[in-house]
Amino acid sequence: MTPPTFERPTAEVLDAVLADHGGVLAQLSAAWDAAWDAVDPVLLELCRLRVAMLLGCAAELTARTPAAVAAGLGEDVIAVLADWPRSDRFDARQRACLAFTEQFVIDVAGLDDATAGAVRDELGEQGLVDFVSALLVIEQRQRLRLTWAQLFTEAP
Amino acid sequence: MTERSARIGRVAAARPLRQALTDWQAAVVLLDAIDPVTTELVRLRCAHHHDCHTCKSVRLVIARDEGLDEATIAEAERSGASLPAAQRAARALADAMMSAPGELPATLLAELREHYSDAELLELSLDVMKWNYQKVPVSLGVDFEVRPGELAELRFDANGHWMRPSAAEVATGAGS
Repeated sequence: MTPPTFERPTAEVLDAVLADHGGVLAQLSAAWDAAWDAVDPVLLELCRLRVAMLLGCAAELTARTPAAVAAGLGEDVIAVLADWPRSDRFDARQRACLAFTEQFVIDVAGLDDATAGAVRDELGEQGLVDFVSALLVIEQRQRLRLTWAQLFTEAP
Repeated sequence: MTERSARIGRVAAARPLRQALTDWQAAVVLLDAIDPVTTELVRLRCAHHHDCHTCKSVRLVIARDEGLDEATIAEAERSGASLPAAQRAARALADAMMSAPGELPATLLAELREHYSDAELLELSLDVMKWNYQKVPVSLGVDFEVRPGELAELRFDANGHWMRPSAAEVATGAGS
């Protein structure tokens, strides 16, 4: 039996809720694919999972992006992700992006030059812009999923 | 208004990602279940939440044409208490989505269902996320006012794309 809409993976939730809005769905899906092409998948997966922790998105926390797993991201690293500031399992690039991610999710207006500059130093200007754009795509999907699960009992 | 400096030069996201984000925003703009005034009040709520200088510097023309004036916008920014209940609920949904999307209060859910259909709620939620694109320019420090020190008109073309005023229009004040 097919589980209720909001117990399914996020891609299926989007498919169900946006079934009558093909243009919106197609572009959200295209943005998702483009995000993973533009940013290192292990780096983006760590940030996706950190976003899920901050927003309390359980479905996204239990999911794994195949490209990141294929690139070598292990469960041992994910297990200590919440403690990244104190863990030695994360390199300078990952730490810069995780710090940026946290500020981006919680209070983007309060993001300071040092936090953005640390990402730019690690990824370059183009990398920073790609990373921020990809981060937005990842965050939007989770905020939509969480909101819809409360607004609707089933896909409208 | 918070001062922030540009953190990049003239750099855009990789083309497929930029194009997809542009097209997704346009697709949402074309949805029309929500009236222009509510759309604008939600857009401005997002602009203030994220302190987006660009978004705060423009006004949606079709909402102005429907009667939304600066006095109402200013009051909405102060408290919003005098707005109709449906518009207050729409703004509260935006607040919740931008702060704690997994914890929408039961009272808010009841108000939203009282005033909006499922199709309208879906559009409102998509609108909030569309306007939240502002997080990209804000975080990069490139959310410049369209016309420094004054308001500019916000229009979209038939395909849902922002008709950004040209440099010449901005320089001469044309179109304002």
